[in-house]
Amino acid sequence: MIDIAQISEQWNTDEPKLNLLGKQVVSFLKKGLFFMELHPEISYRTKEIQSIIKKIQKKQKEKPYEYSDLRDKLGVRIICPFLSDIDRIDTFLKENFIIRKEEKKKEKIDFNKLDYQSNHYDVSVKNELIDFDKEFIFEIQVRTMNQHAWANSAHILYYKQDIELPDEMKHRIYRLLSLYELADEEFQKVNEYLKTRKDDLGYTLLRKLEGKLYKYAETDFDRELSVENLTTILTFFTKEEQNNIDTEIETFIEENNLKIQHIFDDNRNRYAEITLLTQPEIFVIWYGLEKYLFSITDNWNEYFDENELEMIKTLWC
Amino acid sequence: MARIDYSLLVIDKLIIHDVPKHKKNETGGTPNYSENESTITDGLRCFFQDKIKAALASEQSFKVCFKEETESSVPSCVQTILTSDDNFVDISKDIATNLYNFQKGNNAAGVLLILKGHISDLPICVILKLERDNGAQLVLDEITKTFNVEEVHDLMLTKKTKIFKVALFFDRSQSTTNYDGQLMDYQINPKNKKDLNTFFLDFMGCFPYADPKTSTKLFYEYTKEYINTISDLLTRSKYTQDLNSYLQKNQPTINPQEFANDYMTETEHKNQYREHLRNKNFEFTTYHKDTSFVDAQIRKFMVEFENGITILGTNGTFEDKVTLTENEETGECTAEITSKIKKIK
Repeated sequence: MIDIAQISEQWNTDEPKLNLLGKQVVSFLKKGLFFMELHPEISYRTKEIQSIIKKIQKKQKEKPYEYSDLRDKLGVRIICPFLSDIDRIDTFLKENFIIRKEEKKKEKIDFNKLDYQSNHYDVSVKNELIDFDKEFIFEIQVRTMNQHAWANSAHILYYKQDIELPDEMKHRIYRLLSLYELADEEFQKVNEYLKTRKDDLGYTLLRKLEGKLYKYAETDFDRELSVENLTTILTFFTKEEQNNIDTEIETFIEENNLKIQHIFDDNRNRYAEITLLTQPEIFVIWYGLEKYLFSITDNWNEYFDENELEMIKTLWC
Repeated sequence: MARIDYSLLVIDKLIIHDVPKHKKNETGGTPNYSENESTITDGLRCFFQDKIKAALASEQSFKVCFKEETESSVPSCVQTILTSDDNFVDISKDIATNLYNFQKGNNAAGVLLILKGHISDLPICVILKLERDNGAQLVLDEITKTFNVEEVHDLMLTKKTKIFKVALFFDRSQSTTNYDGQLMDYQINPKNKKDLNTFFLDFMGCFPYADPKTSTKLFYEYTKEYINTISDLLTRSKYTQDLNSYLQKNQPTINPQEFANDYMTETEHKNQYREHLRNKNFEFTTYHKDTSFVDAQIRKFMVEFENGITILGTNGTFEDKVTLTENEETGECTAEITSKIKKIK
């Protein structure tokens, strides 16, 4: 028998602290993964009291199990667009958290097992990075958007239900599962192809610069606006200048890392005032101001607000 | 010599003094001093940083050095501010007194701001002189749902106004430069005034870093070098005449950016010109003009043809009286001179 009143009381004390930790971990992950030019969705949840009770009751049927044994009282979820992101996030987590247990579902899955494939980590914080009890263990799940979609659907239909399904139903679920896996692999391939595509400079630049925006601005951007702006801005340049932008922009950003970081850090509260600071085309404009000043200044006023350029020029100096 | 990157400018503290207008030889008056540093919010800090950066990056800004001998106390005050955090308020008062003493009856009353900050690890001191203004603001009457206009007094700076006078200084021994700072004075209008208005420079105890004769000569030579790389001969001829005209204009300063914007017809030429000067380490900024070293070159303009004929004319007359046209198929040029024959040798 479990003491529900005692657990509830304990949970009332713990939950606010874990909420605070959840916020800290999400903020830390966002900053760190943005810096790696990744832009996953990151969220946390604290377990609901009834789920805690149910889980303890269920586990106690198998073995001795207490409130303190629960490792998902706080759960953090990272949902990323591409399969390749998962390995990079894996590296990041191992560098920045103490990994108590690691479960990569794909590695242990049987060929005929109906299961989703996200990675689970039982972790605790490193005190030099996040100030919290380093013995406290919580869970981080990392999955792709398709794994997430599968997990949600499967959870409703089938997940962890100890019911024996007829072969025909199993077959249907295998078919569905393979679609999600295929979608992930195909997304990955399309992404790799688009990254190397050379026939549309605007698109190529956008793919090169979106990660940089995540890194410096620590926010998402308006893709449609970026395509529109970049298409216009690129007409300001000659063909040769456009080629140079394509080949030099990443080096330019790297060489000016300190300056760019300073501009973003100093103006993070002014994104609403200087909206171009949250668009990847800002890097092309700064490159232009540095290398081909007049290509920008001679053409800007025909399409954009003069004051906006003045502001961007002032920030860049 | 490394460039000081003003984009990294951060303001740490600020003090403001009021310097009233007073007549020459009027004694006994003093500025209205602040006794404490002003509170500087993040928003205000960004506002001032933007204003200073915009002013220092403008066409009218130029590098300055402190004079070795000067009546102004600014050089020594700035040096103290740069090297110590003590007595910031008292030293700023000294600068305000200095401005009061330098001002004559024709100088407008002003607000003096002294700021301390840094560019990366380099401590900097900024001195701004602003003028008070009046304005109007919209006020919505909630009851009548009507916009009224209310007067606003003592406006110091708005988002749209430009800073009138600003100088930024650093300790050159801590930087990789051989000058002491950058100064901008919007009231030095290169397009209108023949002589340089030196009031703000004198108050700061500064002189322009670049020697006007040398920088004018280098500007001429580097610009000419670039013009000679242009393959189209008629454009080359036009730009050469333009360069001569620009240097003979009745204005005390020159600026390559102004020259490019005012005379060059192709964006590509302007970019190439800027790159050419950059390769020569000649900055795209304002220089004080002295044509002594290039007078002989800019007064005459000469076109020599392959067939041995040469046309020589004074600048100005040449553009008005000689028309050059090129036959695109043959590449041959026709020169049409409109005048009466004066002498045949």
